[in-house]
Amino acid sequence: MNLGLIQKTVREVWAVTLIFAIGVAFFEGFLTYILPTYFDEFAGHILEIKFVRNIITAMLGSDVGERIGPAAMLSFSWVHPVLLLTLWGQEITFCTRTPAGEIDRGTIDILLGLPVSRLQLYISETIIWLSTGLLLVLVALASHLMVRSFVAENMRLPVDRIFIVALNLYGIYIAFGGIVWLVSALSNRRGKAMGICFALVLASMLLNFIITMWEPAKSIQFLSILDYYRPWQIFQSDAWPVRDIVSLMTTGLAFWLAGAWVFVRRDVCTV
Amino acid sequence: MSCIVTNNLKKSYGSRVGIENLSMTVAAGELIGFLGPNGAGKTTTIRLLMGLLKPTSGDASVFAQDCWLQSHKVKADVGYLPGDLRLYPWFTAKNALKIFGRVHGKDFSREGERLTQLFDLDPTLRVDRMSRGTRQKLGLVLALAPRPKLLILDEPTSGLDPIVQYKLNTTLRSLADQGHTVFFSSHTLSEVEALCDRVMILRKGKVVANETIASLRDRAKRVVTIFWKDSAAHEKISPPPFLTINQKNSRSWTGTIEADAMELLQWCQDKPIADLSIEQPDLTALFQQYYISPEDSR
Repeated sequence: MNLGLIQKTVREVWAVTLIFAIGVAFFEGFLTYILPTYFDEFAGHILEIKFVRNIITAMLGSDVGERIGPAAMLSFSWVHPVLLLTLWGQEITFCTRTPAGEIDRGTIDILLGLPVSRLQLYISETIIWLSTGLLLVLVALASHLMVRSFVAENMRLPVDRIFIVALNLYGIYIAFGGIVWLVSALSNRRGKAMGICFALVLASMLLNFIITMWEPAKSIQFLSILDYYRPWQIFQSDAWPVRDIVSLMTTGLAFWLAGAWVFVRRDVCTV
Repeated sequence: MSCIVTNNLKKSYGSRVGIENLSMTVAAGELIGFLGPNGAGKTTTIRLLMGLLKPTSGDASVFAQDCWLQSHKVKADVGYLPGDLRLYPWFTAKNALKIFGRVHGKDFSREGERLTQLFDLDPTLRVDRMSRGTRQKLGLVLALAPRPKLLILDEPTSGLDPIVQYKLNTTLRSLADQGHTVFFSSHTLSEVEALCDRVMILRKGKVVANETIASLRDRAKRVVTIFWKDSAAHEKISPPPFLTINQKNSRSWTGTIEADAMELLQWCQDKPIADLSIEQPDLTALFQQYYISPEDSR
């Protein structure tokens, strides 16, 4: 860790992170309010459409049955694609800055001309990545809890379970971020790295959706990142999703370490 | 004490060789020019010294520390200016010096301020509003401000106007006089000739010359013009072996000498000579010999 590098990174990312945080706060608050308010309209007919039911099952991780309850409806606010894409978009933007982005724009020469090791640089960037991710999850949590007070009491989700969902969401953030770090470490072009990561996100979401319709796809279900994030089940049970959180953290750590290994050993060519 | 040492350093990019078996030693306090045509391997060598590239074979060390394995320790004593300088668009001289100081764990704002004034740089101007030359000046300020023991500058004068070039040369000369080592690459023969103690010429990834400027000057040919007292005076005179006559007319001879000018003066003493002109050694021609490979000249 190097304070100068951290200062530089914060200077570069604070504005973008603020925009993402406002987006997360707005969207989570909006869903927390709108889903219970229009619960009857949504719940009445929505599940009669098979395609929509498949999508909801894919997002929530389990089939909600013929009638959707308030908990299932509200837990949808934690798995909505816009929320997930906002979080993943932020980390794709962040984690592809270094090294891919720095190599792409040629500034890595100046950066690695400083008396810091590549590992120090990687760790300094990682600290800010983890902090901004935590900030976004906390913003989502705060937004949900604030708007929750305007929702009818029988519709509210239990607070202790909301914290567990937020922790699980942070696990998703870490797991996917680790993958982005590895892609970034292997790339010389930021656009290409971002493209690969967005393709992975879409593939993961698509896989979750295909699983609901095509039985053989279940054999590779474990590859989908959303298979380890099931808020509705968390709200339904008293158990902690230990297996999911540990799997996500381990995946994130493994890919992050692989990214560090690559970055420390690779040639840095900007010309 | 040796500042830079490389032993059989080689870097290949797939089948293409960047540099091959480069062995060199740069002593502390030296001001050394690194010359070569485009693609000769100058930037590759510099990037190996900075730990940006991993050697294919051989090794490089700066202050007895391996450039690849201990690059962060090496860089604590090195000021570096990349050849194709890219800076963060939000950088100003002021905030960049502050951040660089924090990374180094030193406060060099005073030296940075002095250099900013020397190079006539607005400390609050953002990089995205700077011209290429101004960005180059900021790069130089950032490389020089920590007063490093070793300066590695990849084509530092590119984009600079003659006044700033002169100021830079004076600064580099003064740093070398104070014991700092300066290693810089250039395309401009005249600036290397004016500034450096020693020159190393690279061609197709190999060192083809590694000499002091003084010894190069000794070897360089000088253009000599001899003006005779009258047209018949020189008819029976034949030129000495060290003088090659390229042009003869009724009143003068023009040619080149490789020997010491004193030898020519001695030879001239008993000859009917009206005037004599001996020009400065022509290093350009000598450099060009090194630049052009035997295959190219065929």
